[in-house]
Amino acid sequence: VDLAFAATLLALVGYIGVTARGFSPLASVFPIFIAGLVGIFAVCLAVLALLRRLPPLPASDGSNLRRLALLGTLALWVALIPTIGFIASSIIGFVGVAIVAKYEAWSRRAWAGNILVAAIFVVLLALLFTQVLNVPLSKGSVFGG
Amino acid sequence: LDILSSLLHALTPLNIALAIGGIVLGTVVGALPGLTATMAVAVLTPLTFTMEPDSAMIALSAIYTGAIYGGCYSAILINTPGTPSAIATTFDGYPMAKRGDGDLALTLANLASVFGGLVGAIGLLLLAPPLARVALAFGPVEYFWLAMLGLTLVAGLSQGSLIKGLIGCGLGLLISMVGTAIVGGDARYTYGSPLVLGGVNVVVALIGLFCVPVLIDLVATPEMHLKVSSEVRGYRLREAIEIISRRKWNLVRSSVIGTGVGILPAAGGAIASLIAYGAARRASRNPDNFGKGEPDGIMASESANNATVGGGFIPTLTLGIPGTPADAIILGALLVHGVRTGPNLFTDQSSIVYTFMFGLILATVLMLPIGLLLGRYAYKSIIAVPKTVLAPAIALLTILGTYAIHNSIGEVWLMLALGALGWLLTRVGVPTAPIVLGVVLGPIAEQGFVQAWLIGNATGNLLGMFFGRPISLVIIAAALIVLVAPALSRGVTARRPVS
Repeated sequence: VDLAFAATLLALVGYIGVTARGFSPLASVFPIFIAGLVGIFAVCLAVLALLRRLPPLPASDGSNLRRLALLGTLALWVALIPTIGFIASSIIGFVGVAIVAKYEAWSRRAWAGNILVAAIFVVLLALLFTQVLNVPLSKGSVFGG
Repeated sequence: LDILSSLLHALTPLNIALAIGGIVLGTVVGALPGLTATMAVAVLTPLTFTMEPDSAMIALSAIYTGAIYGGCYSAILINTPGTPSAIATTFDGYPMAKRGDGDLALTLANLASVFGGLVGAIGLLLLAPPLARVALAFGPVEYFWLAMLGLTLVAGLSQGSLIKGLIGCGLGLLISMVGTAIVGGDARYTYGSPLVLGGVNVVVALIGLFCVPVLIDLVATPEMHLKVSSEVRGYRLREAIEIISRRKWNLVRSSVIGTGVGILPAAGGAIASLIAYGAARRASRNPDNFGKGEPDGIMASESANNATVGGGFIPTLTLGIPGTPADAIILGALLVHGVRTGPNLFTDQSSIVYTFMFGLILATVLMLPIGLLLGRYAYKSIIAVPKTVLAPAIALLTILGTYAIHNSIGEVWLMLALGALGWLLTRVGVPTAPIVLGVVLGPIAEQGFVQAWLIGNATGNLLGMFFGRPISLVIIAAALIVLVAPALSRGVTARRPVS
């Protein structure tokens, strides 16, 4: 893994080195300098990996399926905001993330409670942001016209 | 006599009420990921335009102090610094909360913040004009090396391999280069998208890289987010005072570091807290405990970042150079109220200035009871809330906090992408703190580097420009010590015979 990471970094450094030449001298000097440093670090990483002098990688526990489901739910949540607006998409997204995070079966009452909590939390935060902090939240193309 | 009347003026019921309100509002805003101290000050500044100048200044400084302190809540309880100043607080705060000592960590953070804030405010009161001259001695190359020192510190202090910490810093600096070049004006790595033309926003990166990986791992296992103790332990104030009284030099040293770094424009609480954290670890008898829930780490970080508030006002008031974006907004508010900052401020408008300084001290003292109360409430809420509410609530704050920066859905997508990238990087052992600090310090480092490079080329002495100035050499030496000391200390330990 460490060798593959070092190789990816070297590829990134090469890309930055090549593209930075297209910028003006003032805009390219810092990217080239930092890319050079990252390149040196990547070579050091590869050497340390070959010599087996790196600490072990952090252990991965838990469900990767849930991790992917969370990212998918967050993406869907954000994608829905321009269409159905912030409040509706956030209530759906809130309940969606709760489903990804739940490990016990929910009764009908628990479902209702969770949807209610989502609605209260979302509406209160929406009020705080729109009324107190003057942040205009999207009403969506469906509800906002 | 003038100073005494300013003190009495700061203690009017209205000013005390404004300080309390400012601390509460600032702490709540600072605790929410995405809402920074700058945003708190910016949003609430217009409310102060109708007030008397000294009352307005007291309210604004209370909001600012509270917001810097509030950043520790989310740093300790959900491993997400509310503001960049609290990055170093996550190193030991979150491990303490995970093992069931979140209440103690919050109380320690409160006491350290109050102490640091008081040292910074007293520094402002007593030493403002002479200390301001220190800031003027810093040129572009010193700022470049200071940014490099901050990055080597975070790389050396993060858990795991030093080389991966340095890679994290490099990646953060590369992310900071996206957008219009700070010197030169070229559009770099924007691929024609106006979204990143102004660069990757620091708060977008902060939320994405810290919050999203926490969320991803939060839903992956059924275990509770934080360990909950069965006994009722209250604020654990006595325990916290005992810990602090045993380590008072850490508190004093960190607060002095915070005040000193705060004076340097743009350096800010993030660098101050990391330098103080590094110094605390080097001075500690148990350096190996740092990063695993060591109270000294929280005390160093929190006292230093709150001390930068008073320190940051020194160049703002005496030179008219704001130390941080929040200082810049307060400087604007001062001008609206007819207060002209500069060397003559202390003679021409001393009454307002001293009332403001006493107001800052008052706000910092009030942070003690208010912070303890709010901290207790935040801790009880976080440990009582089930994961099915906590995870979506954090997700909602993450999305809303990012959207609120520029009302941009594009930045929310960027935050999610950075979050997924941050999680992948943590899997290969690259910690997130150096990446975020790279994004925070990238513009300062680039500006200093390019300006020094230009001056060096123009004078035909490029090496002398970077390596020939006394302050630069001191900073470079400090950075080298950070990089080399752990390896040397390991070598000494390895050679020492086992008794």
